[in-house]
Amino acid sequence: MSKITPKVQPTNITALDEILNGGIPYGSLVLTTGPAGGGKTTLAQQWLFEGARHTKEVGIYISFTEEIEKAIRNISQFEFFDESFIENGSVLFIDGRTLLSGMSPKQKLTLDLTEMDQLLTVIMNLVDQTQAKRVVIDSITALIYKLDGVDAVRSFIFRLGYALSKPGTTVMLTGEADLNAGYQSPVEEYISDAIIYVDSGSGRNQQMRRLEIKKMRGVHYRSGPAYFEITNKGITLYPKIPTYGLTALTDFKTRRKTGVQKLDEMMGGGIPQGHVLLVAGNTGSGRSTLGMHFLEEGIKQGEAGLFVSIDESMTQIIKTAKEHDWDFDKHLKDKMLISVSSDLIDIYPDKLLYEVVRAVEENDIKRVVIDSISSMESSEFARDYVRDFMLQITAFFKSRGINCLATYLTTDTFGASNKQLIGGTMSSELQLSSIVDGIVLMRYVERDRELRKLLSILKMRGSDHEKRIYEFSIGKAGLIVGSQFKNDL
Amino acid sequence: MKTAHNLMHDDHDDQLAVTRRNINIHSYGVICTIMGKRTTDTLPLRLRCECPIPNCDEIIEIILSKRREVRREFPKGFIMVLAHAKSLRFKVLYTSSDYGVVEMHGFNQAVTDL
Repeated sequence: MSKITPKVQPTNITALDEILNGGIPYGSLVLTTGPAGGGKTTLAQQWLFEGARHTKEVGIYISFTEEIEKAIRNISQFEFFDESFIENGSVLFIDGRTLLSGMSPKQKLTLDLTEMDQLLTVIMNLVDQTQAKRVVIDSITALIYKLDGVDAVRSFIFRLGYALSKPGTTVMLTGEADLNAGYQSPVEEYISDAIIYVDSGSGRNQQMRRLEIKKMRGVHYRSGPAYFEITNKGITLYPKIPTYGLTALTDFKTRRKTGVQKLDEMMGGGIPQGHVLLVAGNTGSGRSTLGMHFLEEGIKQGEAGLFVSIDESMTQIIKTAKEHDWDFDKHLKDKMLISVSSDLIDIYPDKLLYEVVRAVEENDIKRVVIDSISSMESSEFARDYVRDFMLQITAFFKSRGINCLATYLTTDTFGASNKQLIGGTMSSELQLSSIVDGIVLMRYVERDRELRKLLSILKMRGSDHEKRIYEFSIGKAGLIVGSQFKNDL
Repeated sequence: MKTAHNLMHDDHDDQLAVTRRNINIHSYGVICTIMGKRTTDTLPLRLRCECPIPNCDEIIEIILSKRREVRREFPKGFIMVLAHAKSLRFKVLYTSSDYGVVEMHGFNQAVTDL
């Protein structure tokens, strides 16, 4: 028996279709739910305008919560808003209360069965005459308060969905619910074909918004929350990268040089293609410099690089690079170097991930530096999020044969206690050690009343590497690895 | 189980037919108000069956121009699915392949679109 695949309707909202594996099956009854201020109305309105813009589908917005003039005024700030769509009837804005005759809209508190019937018939006929493929009822909660009992709610939603699914019209109902406040699924959730949950929490500087597909009949969607922002562009989603099914293009025969000759030798001729290295070190030890060195060497070889700057601004990075005669400003102009930055206070790991992936795909990037992973941990997000970030980005880089150096600030400033140089220096970063392919450790040690910098390789997956510890320095030419460290204490 | 075929006249709620007709007329009025000249004669409207049978959920699909014509031609009529129109003891004024227009006893008032 052949499979019947439902025809899906793209939402045309950035990355939402990616999560939905194409879109929403035509004729679905979608419940967009979440607490107040979560972004339900914006999502629904954007869905209508994007449908009119990209697929020439007529959309109807029926409001039971606010005056139409106010609703239009509120969305006119968004780039997706196009007044001509309202003028030419591509998007209809209708005050739901005016659909019911003989009532003073503001005084009518309840709807009887006849009025409910009337409302359904009008909506049905609006769809018939406009050939609308997208209808929004904002909000079903406001309407439910007017209906008498669960049976009336069930009947209304069921009949609405049934009547509009025939012409293949997708209906989006917005509804209020708060999972964090002991919310229990109301009747509309059981009847709906799909549930999109949106909510937001407080960051230090901004709202941190999440969207999750809870249910979508007929579509293999990606589960789990995806972060999103509401900007003047409307809703922009940052979906996670699926880590399953990606093939690693690791190649031990192809090595990428760091530009630090001795370090390349310590690694057996360079970094194996597709390897992700954690460069862990004390503050000021030269982690960022090594990253810049690695990118500069790549550019010399004709390989474009990406610098993900979290610790410092790119302007600062350019100035630092200039001290080593590395012209990052020119590289940026030549598009041999691409930069992605993030707000250190409220980092959206998924946004960063999305921007990195986009930069890599658009610029044929071969080398990436993330500076630094530890800064991500110190922001609003827990370490688990950072670990998720690293899992996804590592899988993605491997699937493209990209090499990445991710810097990490170790907490122990002086690691040479009790004559042990290794012990006690690798606590936090060990959480990431199973994800990365290699670890380069850069530390200080106090000897003869001065600080010396030490470099060692703790791990290099699938490849032999130097086990000895070397001293190194940073000068005009960048990082220079010197002689083997003698522990003469 | 009561069906349209075995319903007796007493099982009907004739006022229900009037309510359903009012819903359809109201709906047409709202559509015309909202859409103005953008209504399309050749596109359909779905009407509630205007029969007096309780719990009837039947829908009649009819193109806009035909609906206007039927309402104009039979201002006292009730538009019902064909089975309901034929099974009830009312005077059938007009039939198409899937609906009929009947005149119900006691409801002779002509109605016009809003």
